[in-house]
Amino acid sequence: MNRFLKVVVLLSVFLIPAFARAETPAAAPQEQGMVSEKEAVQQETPSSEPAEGAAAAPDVSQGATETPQEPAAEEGAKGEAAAEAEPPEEEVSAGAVIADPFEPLNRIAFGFNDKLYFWFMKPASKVYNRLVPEAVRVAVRNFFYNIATPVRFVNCLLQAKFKAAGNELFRLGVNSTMGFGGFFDLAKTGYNVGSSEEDLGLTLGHYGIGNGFYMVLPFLGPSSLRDTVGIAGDAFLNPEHYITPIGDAIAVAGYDYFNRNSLRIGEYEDLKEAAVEPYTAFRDAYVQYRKDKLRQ
Amino acid sequence: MKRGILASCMVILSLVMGCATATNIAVSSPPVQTGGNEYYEARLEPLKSSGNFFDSFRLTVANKTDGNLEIDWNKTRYLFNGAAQEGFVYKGISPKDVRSGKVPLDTIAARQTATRVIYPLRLAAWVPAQERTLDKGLSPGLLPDGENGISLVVIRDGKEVVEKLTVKISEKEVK
Repeated sequence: MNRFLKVVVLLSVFLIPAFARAETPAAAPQEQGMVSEKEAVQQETPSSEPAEGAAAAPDVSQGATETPQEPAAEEGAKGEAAAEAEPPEEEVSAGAVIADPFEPLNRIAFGFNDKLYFWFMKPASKVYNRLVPEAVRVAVRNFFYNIATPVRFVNCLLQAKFKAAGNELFRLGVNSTMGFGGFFDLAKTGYNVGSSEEDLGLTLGHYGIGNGFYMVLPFLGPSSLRDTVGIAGDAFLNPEHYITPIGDAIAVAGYDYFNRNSLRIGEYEDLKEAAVEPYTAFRDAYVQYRKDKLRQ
Repeated sequence: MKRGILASCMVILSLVMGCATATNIAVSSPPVQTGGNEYYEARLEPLKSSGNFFDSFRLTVANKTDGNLEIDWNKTRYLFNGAAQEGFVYKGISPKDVRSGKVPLDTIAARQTATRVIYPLRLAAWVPAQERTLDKGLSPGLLPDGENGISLVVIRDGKEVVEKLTVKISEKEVK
């Protein structure tokens, strides 16, 4: 176990800063959107040609710049700076960016997860969803979420978010007792005390450590070097992982994962089918998500 | 031994407390933007579904006419710093429908008001499977600093009436 810890520490100390340099200074708060690093560079290139990255939404952006087809179309403008003429999309600042040096490997893992979802997770979840009502599945999710309070509590403390840490303790107390062992999120529904959802990846980000590079983890999906280190670190704080024998721990964690996924069946294919290039779309949407979390 | 551990904890706690920083919150100017024409009144309000930052809009459209109006979500666009981006997603409408331009027209009956909570598809965030969260997989991403708004396309008697509403979002530090 000590050896594993050493590896994790070494990874975080040496690799993250090294790869963080590969990132563009994406921390600028005004930078948004879903554009990869490569695409962002292309957008900066002074060229009258539309950037390749803009192809993420080619038809849509063209539609946006169209003037109404109807000759009698009327247009009003309101707002502090409603633009008279819309500038080309290249002028819109690029968004969440991450280095992806292992893209070929990541694509293999992405393909594996995709097949896992469509061949196993989705059909199995459909059966599970028929057998188990949604309210029960939500209660199970709440139970496991409550158990994982130490992860959030410690990370709140590490980020000096003392109010949030207090909220986590309050939630643990209320949900474990009045919420029948955490099956009911009474802290949220009864007392309007929400969870901060902090993790080690966010803690590392809070102290200025960049994403590192993008990774797609088999079974788990999109991640980054920083967040993968975070997942490994958080595992030590999650009581779920201290169940013995290890076979039981894997079974419990597997069920938790499966149950959580059963509540979001359909969303994956929604985003996938909406994407021109699914791999890029999921990468950008993931980076967007983590960037938002960090900002909050 | 115990003293050592206690002292280490104290040092770590002091360091962590010393690192405490002020928090930022997003503010909108104006908080609610209104606009309109002879056919309808529109109201755009940025919303914070959780936390200190805006991630969606509440759009309210009041029909001033004696006939039906229809919001064309396939042509309505998210505006960021004056540039038109992709469309909006809202409850019941999937990103797939938005991208393929198959969102049905949204009818507002005569003299009625319709309200929708919408967020830009371009900013949609994906929560991966391993994430232990109470959020949905696909969720609204934060609205960036700058001018955020909507180019609203409403159809009346087969004609498009376009109205642009924007608000300026910025961050403010609070202690």
